[in-house]
Amino acid sequence: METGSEPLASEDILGEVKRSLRSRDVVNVEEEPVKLVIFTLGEGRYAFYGSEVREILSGCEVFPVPFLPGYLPGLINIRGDIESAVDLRHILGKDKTPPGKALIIMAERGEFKSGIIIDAVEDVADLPQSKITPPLATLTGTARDLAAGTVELGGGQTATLIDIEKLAAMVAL
Amino acid sequence: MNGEAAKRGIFPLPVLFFSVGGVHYGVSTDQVLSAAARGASEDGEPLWFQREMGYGGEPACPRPAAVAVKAAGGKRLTVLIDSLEEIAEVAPGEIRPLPPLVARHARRKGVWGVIPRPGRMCLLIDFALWTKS
Repeated sequence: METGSEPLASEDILGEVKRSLRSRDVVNVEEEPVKLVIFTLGEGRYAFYGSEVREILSGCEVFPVPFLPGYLPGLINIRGDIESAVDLRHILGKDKTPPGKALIIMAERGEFKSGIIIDAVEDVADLPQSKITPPLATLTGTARDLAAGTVELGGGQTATLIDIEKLAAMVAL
Repeated sequence: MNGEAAKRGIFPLPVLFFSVGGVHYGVSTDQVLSAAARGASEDGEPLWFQREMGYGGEPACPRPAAVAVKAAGGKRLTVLIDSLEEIAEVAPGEIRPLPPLVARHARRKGVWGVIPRPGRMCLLIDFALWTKS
């Protein structure tokens, strides 16, 4: 058996593994992942920053309040706390969400706190910041007004990242 | 709510519950002068609650109930509603404030709070505030 100074194959492999881990660490430092909640409304795909989502409530009863504007269909009861429900579908110029039970994202940013009615949650993902690019030039209407960017999801698919602060300003008017 | 309110005798708050268009409401009985299950009114032209609250469309209830209430300035006002439900005493801990997004719209309609009940949400209305607005 050779006992020279040549490293064993396992040491080569381990060295490669360590280099790989170090390079991954470098990438992680440069590209802090961002948590996003990706959801659908009709045919559209949208996202919120995960840091602004408190919880997701399925089958949540929205109690109608007749005198409110169309984007505010009513109230929800979250373990005894009463919160508003915002119909994002209506805000984006789509058909109003039908009354009854709904899937709701509880969003909070600064003084804004409200349930936001959505159709379905598609994913909760950690993505590198570089996957968020400026809003698509083809984006129009209210979606463009509310967009903080476009999320590249791979496979040519994108989601419009909704800025909760802009949404809060819009519904508070 | 604090002990001061209890000392002043506000609580337990007697509330008349009623419904209009599938939405539940409550009003302090202090504001209620009379209530009739089927809408006979002695006071001029009654107001349709549904119309005044902005439900949209015309009231569809064929035999409304009537509630005579104290409006702003102590004026007597008769309001037509779908149905009377019950009178119950409400403890301070049962009443929740409205969320800010809703409160600013609600105040214009005299709605100031909410009582969550199993499977329903009762909006508390102040008819003096409502008619003032």
